[in-house]
Amino acid sequence: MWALELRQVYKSFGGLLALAGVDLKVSFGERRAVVGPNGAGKSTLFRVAGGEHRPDRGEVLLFGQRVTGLPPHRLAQMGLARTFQVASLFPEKDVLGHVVLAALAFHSLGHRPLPHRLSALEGQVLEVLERVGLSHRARTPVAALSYGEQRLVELAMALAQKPRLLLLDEPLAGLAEEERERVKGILHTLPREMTVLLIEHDLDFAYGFADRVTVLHQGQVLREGLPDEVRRDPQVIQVYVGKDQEADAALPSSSSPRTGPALLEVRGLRAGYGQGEVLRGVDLEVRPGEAVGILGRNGMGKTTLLSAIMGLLPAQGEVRLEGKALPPGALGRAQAGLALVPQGRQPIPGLSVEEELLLALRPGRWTLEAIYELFPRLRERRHAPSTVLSGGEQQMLAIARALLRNPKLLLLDEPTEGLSPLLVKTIREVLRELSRQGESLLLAEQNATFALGLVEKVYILEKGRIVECTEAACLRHEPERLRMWMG
Amino acid sequence: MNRWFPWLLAALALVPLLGGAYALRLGTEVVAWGIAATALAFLYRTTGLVSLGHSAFFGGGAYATALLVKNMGASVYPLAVLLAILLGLAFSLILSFLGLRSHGIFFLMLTLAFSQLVYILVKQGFPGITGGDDGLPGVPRPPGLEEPAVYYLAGLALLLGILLLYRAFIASPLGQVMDALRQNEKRVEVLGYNIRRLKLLASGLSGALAALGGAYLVGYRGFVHPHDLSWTTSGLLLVMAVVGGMRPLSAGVVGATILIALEAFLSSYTDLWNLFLGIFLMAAAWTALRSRGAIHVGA
Repeated sequence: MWALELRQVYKSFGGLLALAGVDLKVSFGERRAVVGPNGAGKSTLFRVAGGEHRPDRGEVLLFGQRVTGLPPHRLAQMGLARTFQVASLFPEKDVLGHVVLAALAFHSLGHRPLPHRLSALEGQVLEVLERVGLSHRARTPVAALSYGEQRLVELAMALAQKPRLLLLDEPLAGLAEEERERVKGILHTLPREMTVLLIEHDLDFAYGFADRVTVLHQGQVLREGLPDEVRRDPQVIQVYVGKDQEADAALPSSSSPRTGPALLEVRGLRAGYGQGEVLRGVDLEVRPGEAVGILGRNGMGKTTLLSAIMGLLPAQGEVRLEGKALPPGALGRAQAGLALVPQGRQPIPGLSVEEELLLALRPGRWTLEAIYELFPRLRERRHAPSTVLSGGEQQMLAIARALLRNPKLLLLDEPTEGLSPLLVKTIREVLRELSRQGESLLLAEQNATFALGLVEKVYILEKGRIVECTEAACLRHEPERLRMWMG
Repeated sequence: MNRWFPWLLAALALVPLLGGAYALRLGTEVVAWGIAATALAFLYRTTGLVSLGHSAFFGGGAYATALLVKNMGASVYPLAVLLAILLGLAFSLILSFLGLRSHGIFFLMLTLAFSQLVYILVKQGFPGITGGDDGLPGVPRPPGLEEPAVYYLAGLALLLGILLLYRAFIASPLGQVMDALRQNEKRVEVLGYNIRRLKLLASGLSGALAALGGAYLVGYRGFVHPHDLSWTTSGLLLVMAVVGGMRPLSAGVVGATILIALEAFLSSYTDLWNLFLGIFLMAAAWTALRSRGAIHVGA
């Protein structure tokens, strides 16, 4: 008997075969990592195992019982818990409320329709929060948390369910270094009675953590075995990392320092959510044709900065494009020539890839044809609904969408989040190409290696302020300085 | 509850001191409609579902009470009200059982279709029993509550009791789960809650409460009319709940107070009071939307 067993599972979305006959057997107490390039079907595999999707064909067995087609809550009652790749929370509740909700699910008090003190439960919940490092945030509404902290709430909820089988969808994605270490520590100390199945792009962690590794590729199991065997398997290396590993060395041509008037000029920008001020007076400049990076850990205000520049958030301060002050509001700023590639990609439900691209299209240098040239993958998928694309394809779509606006300045918010190494490389090549062709880029990243291989100038954002502005080359040569800010 | 909401309730309690029969009538209407609008707001608060068919339960409760009391005498009032509540519960459960696979606008249309069905059946299906187009006149007051002021105050006490129960429910563990259900249904399901059962519970309670509002209305007004079942009645209930803000416990009562007061005020000046009411509603919706203007983007 297995903790989880999948027998010849098939699942397709609108002509897109996400799982093409997957067999998987996970034994009790095992730690299993599912790895594979983006679009391999990992997330779909989780959704099928978690009961969110019914497989088109095949069987799912949980603890030896056939559960194909059962709704998620039945699986949860049998002892399955899962976290989501993109935190899925209750916007009006605080952190404590979330974890209490998870702990209540199988508690007799969960059905009580009259107020009741939950002191016993809350003690247990605070313990979980302590473990994930959120106890000081217990009373904070989740909307005020950073993305990384929201992911920690996800994990805390799953732990509070006391599952027998835990499915973790990229537990380390979007976390800052300190948070990563903490999560790794938590995962390593999980009791052995708990079976853990995780998807992870951090291969060093995945191989170190797992007893066995399953490599998924194009909806099929490419290889399964002990981490060391899989790590050395040439076939796996090829699909996962790509053939040439030389490209990393090629840094952007360090052009002469750019002069002339600034394309984008930001002065004293302040913004926040409700009571909390996130940006405390930010100044920055982007010159025409320049690629500029904003580095900073999670929760330092990178997304807020881009949103405020784009006009998605009310903000005080000055934002000028080509010397002209920009109107408030995202519409006016989009028309003035800003385009944002948002964090989390945000495809538009109900539209196909091509429809979404046509929606963005504004006459200019970038045409649909030029975009398909840049992203051949999007041409192949142009009739697929944008929401069924894999994470990497959605990222391409998000960049393509912004480019088709033919903007004067492209704002990118963590374009590499949750992407496999191969795709990170693809995205970097694309962005380098754009830079070479003279596009101006403003990139917010916490993946410093990625950003430094791409940009010329770097701003470091710390607690809503710019603490350093320097040539990217300097940071490349002085990793200690980088480490100081990026932890 | 809002800080000023107890003051609104206190002000309502002082209405009999005004001495006028008109003020008392308006106050009683506020209680009856307030109960039903609270039922609608409760359904939204706990599940995120919006119904455009609550006239079926509101008017249905009124009809059930009227039929029983007219035929068997005022002494069966407790029984009649209980039956009205149970019928509201049962029909709401059946409707949701059939309709809960749908969301949003589809649920709205389904509830609308159901209430129209009830409306037609009552109006044209069994005129012998339901009085057809004329409705049922001559419904007596419940014994002991014949005095309008007493009837009104009893209703106000009932309303207060309902609101206190509502508050207790939302503060309870189950209420917290249902509050989360409105915010992110999928996540609640993955945590191991049977969301279908939770939604059935909410709609059942909502239907029962709306029926109680209808029973209270008929006991005071003395007649029922098919109009109580029509979709405009559902629409008015929905507008009340929305004007009150949908989510707060006070939504139904605040909305009912504002609309009934506005109607009374405007109609004393002009026959075109509906026009001004419409302008007021649009202005209210516009301010509500503006105050929510900021988009959440994440830190």
